[in-house]
Amino acid sequence: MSIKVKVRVGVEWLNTFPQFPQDPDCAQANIHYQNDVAEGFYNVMGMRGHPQIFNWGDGNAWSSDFEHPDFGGDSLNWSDDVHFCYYADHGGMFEDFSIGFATDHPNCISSSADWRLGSKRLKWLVLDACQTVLNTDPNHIWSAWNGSMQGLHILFGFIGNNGSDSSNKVRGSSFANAICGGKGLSNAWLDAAYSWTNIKDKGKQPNRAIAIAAGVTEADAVNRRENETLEWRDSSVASTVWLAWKWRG
Amino acid sequence: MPEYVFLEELPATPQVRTQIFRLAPPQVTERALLGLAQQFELAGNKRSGILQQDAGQITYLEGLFELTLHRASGGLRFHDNSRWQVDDGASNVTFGDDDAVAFANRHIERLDVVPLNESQVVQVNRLHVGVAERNSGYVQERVIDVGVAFQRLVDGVPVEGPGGLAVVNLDHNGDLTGVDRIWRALQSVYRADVELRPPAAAQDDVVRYWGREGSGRIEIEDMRFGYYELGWDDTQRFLQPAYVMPLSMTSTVGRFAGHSVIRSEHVVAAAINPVGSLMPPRPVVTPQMPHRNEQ
Repeated sequence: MSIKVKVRVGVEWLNTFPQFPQDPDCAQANIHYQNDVAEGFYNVMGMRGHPQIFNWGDGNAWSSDFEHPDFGGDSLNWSDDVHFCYYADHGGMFEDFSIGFATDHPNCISSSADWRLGSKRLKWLVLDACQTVLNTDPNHIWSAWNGSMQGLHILFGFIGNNGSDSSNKVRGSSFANAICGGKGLSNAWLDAAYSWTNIKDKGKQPNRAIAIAAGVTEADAVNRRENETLEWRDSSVASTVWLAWKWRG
Repeated sequence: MPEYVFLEELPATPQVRTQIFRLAPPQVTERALLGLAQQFELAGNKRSGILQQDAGQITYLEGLFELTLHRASGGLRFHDNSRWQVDDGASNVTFGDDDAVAFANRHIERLDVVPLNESQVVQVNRLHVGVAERNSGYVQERVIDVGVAFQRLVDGVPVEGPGGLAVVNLDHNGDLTGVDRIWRALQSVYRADVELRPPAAAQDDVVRYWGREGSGRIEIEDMRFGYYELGWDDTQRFLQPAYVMPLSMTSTVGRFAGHSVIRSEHVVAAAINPVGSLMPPRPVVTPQMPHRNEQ
């Protein structure tokens, strides 16, 4: 399929953390496969003709890339200067959703309270991390994300903890292949990220993927959730009045 | 060093007859694909549909139906794109798991998807949709699809991994909307009656693979035994027994201390004399270079 629109892509991922940093919040448990997940997405998007803007890993990934200038960050030159951003690493829902970094530029932990996603260019964000939401209670989904989604079309993530292993580390590249082939974004994420591996782990929840779309009206949000593709890059969300989500579990 | 915790008592060495099978090369050709299309009740010819190919897969499109074969695995995906994972705005699945399994069994038998006597139901999941509005607090939630997953059995031994699995998707009427199947054909017995390593040896392998550097607590939650089949885009020549250990990592330092931060799975061949390994080599930890400067 020929590309009609170009989507600027940026990824950040962390596998390795310092063990005795000055700020103890930078000392996280090392994990595997985050580079595979994020760079898999980045490489396929690039191979399919989309501009690769940044690929920051480990100590090169900084919290300021996500934090809005109102909170001392530099997001408008990084995460919000691309259309599609993919973050892969530790995440957790504390008072707000937070992600971890290995260096304090300026913070080891970045909170979604300091994010204004989509205020410049960002349309789609993947949080390939634990606890994008803790559960699917509508009040929780709403309170967790309506404040941060300031023009973002769709947020992709996981309910509760996610998992990465040698067999599902291809979800980033699978997702990119599907959406570059014209598939709807939300369905492509659920398809790529719902786990086929630990589905056999009886009594345990497999990776439960979720896509959360914003809209001015109910029809707008539902339409994005059901039908939005990369071609919708310039179809703006004027304000986040409605959220429409989809998940398997 | 991470702390390794084995939550469950180690199982005894399995006392079941296991073999190492040579797998048949996947039959991924236009002819095979069109034959499968007919099996799935499509016309299945080049006048009625179109064929698309790339390095990884071959796809037949007929109307809104899409049938794909993955070259590496022979894995099959059949979707009705007008209904698979699609919200029509009104439908709501109300039937329970037992009904879902009964519907799925009927479709599997009718379309000859997999032999039911060589499989067991491993999961029933649901695709949920929801909307909420800021000002009024209006909320609506529905279930629009049910997925029934079947795990393969080989001589009664379950097949673990992303392969050895068939998933049937159903709409609110119990009608079929999609089938996903990774089920590599056995060609012959490569080694009969293989001797198995004790599970303790698999335990040691976890520590070797996940390493002694860093922090955190790695909890190995279970140890399952079965054959191991790889995923969509993996080439696999042999089917062999394996120990599968689901694990979770809990952070012990910093802001995430006390939080489970990731789940994963460790797989190790169970035969004393296995054929190759089931996991890639341990990832090499190298910081990204060059270091980023303030800009």
